[in-house]
Amino acid sequence: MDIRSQMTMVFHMDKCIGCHTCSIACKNIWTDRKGAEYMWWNNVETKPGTGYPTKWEDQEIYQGGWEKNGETVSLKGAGKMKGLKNIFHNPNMPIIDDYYEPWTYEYEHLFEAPEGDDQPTARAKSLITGENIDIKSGPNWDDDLGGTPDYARKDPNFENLSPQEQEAMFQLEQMTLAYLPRICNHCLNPACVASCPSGAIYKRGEDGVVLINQEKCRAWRMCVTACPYKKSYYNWHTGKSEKCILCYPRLESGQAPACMHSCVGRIRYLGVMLYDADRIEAVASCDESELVDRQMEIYLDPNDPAVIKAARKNGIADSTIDAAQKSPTYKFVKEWGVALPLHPEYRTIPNLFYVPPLLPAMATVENGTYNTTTDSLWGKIDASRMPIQYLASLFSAGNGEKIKEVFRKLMTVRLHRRDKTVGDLDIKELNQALADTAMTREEADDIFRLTSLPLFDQRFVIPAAHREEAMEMLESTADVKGNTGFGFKEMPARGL
Amino acid sequence: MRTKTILTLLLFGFLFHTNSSAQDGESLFSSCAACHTIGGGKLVGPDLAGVLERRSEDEIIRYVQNPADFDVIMMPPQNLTNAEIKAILNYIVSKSPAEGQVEEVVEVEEVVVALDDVKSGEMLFEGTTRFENGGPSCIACHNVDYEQMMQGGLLAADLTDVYSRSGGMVGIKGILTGLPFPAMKSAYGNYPITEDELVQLQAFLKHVDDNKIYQHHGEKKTMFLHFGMIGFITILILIFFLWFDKKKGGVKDDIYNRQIKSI
Repeated sequence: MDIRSQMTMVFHMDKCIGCHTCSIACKNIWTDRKGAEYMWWNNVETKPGTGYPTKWEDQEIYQGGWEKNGETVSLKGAGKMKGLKNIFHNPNMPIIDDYYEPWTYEYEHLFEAPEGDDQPTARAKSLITGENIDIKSGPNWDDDLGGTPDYARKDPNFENLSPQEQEAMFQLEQMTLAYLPRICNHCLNPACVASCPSGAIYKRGEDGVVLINQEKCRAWRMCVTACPYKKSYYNWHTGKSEKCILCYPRLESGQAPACMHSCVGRIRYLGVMLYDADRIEAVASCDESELVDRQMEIYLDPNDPAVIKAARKNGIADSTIDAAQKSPTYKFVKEWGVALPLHPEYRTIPNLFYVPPLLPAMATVENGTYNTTTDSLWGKIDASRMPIQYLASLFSAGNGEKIKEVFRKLMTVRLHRRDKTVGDLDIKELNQALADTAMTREEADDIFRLTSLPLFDQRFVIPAAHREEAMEMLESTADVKGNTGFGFKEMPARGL
Repeated sequence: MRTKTILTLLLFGFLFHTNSSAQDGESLFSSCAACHTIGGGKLVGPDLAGVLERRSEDEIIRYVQNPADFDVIMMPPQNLTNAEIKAILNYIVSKSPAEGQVEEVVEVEEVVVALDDVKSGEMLFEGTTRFENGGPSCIACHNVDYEQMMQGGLLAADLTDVYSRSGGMVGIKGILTGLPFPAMKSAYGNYPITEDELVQLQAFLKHVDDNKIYQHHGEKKTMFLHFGMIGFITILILIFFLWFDKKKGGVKDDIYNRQIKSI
């Protein structure tokens, strides 16, 4: 057992209103720079939709992620031979048009234009070439099902859906959508790390944040293609690749990442989970139908004395273990089992989990009344507007039962709360629901509380970073004792 | 073979030795002798006997120092002072034979070369064996039309018919020992070719010259063309299969194209 700690996240899709506040917070802090304008370390997509970059989920195009190779996994689009084949030109890499050409408007012209017959205009200027451009697309061009024939209908997740099911999703009065906010998954088996020829990408030991060393990056851009979530971006100005850093400077000072802190719907949860690094290969290479269940096995119970002992032995600080015990993500993912990883079939073991959206059931109009009730207890789930199979291809590698299991739990919580607040439910039905999902009323209350009424400190349980311990691994602090502070990494120009 | 060489050497010695008053001119003329004779007939350059009767002294001096100023550029420029050129001209005058008296130098060239020498010469020319004093192999700059050997360099003159062009063994020897060309001078000035090597090269170049009409160079040229075409097509086919499923263009190209069409 090789226990390590990992920062994990849960996004509650039922709560997301698609306001893009997270994206803006992230952009303002990290990617409002030359060469990074097109990057959205955090973005919010509409599902069904093709996302950003367009069709990122179609690995036949981008060749990202891992594929099962006997008892182990190998990269789909990188490796020695494949790397050699594409060493001068990597055709699987997204081009700027697959993202979008970033632009600004020539606002100054509104004030400085010479007097003329017409109103001055603010034309769109490319942030790459500086030339006037005709805007062709943006990072969320398909937001709220915009441009459906071009985007939503080409969603790669429709592959396992019958044409009737697909068509049903676009019928007036039946169509539905859900918002899918995405950041880097800080995977346990990151394809970007494995693909980097320079060894510039690494997974931080203390919290599992995946980072790109800007001094070591040599612009191979193998990570850009290898990451199946397309969350590694190439900065054309600095010639280095960049990605979400999970706001580690904020984490180290005990603050939640900017996207999570600013979230209006409070959909985001952050917490530590302890995992067994010895099992990574076995989990990543297991059969596709088992991927979700096996991934859940890798996360260990932080209250188990054997786990605590092994964690201490591995140098995990008590404060981190304490945070793992209070972790909201552990509750959602492991204890309650209502959060699922996005596209586990890429076999990177992502650490960002989603509570799938329990969309309203398909209603029927009978005798002029809008009827949403169904006769059977779980009938509403089967009549879900968003086909179960569609959600399954997003969150459980096509296993619809997994989605239904989560939905039953979420429904049970609602039934329990309805019984508690309104009290008009058949108690037999509720007990049946609780028995079916093996849930107690207390548990249902806990899920309700953490979903609807969580406190700030319950959503984000961030342990002390213990940077001093990480620092001591790299340099002896005794060597610089007596210097100003802890010495200078870069000498000041004026000298010491 | 050896005796023939010695005989030619003796002939050169005889040609150069008599007039002691133009001793200076005589030694300087040795570099001219690579291409010119005095009354010995045309070699690479014209016979210089009676040259002063054909051109004025000034003209000759200007030509020797800077042949590029004249339309007829045959000779590399010589780094000689006016006095030195005059000394050479004096020497030429003194050596010019009386009218109508032309020594039949070319007639002596009834040369038979040993096959061993031809082979060694070929190896020296090609660089398979190195020159003893470390000079560069001939093929680096020169080409000869000789099937058994690869195409040589194109930096300097083609040496296929250098044997007949420069007046036989004597001419070759003159060029290789006198080094009248600046490029040759800098290449072999400090790394002289030994006597044995000279003999072998002479033999090889004569052999090449004698056999030039038997070379099938036409076939060689088309062979390269054919190989090139086959190779090019093979690579194209290979590229087609290796990168068959590559991503072509942007994923939104069809959307953009349609949008542009509808405008």
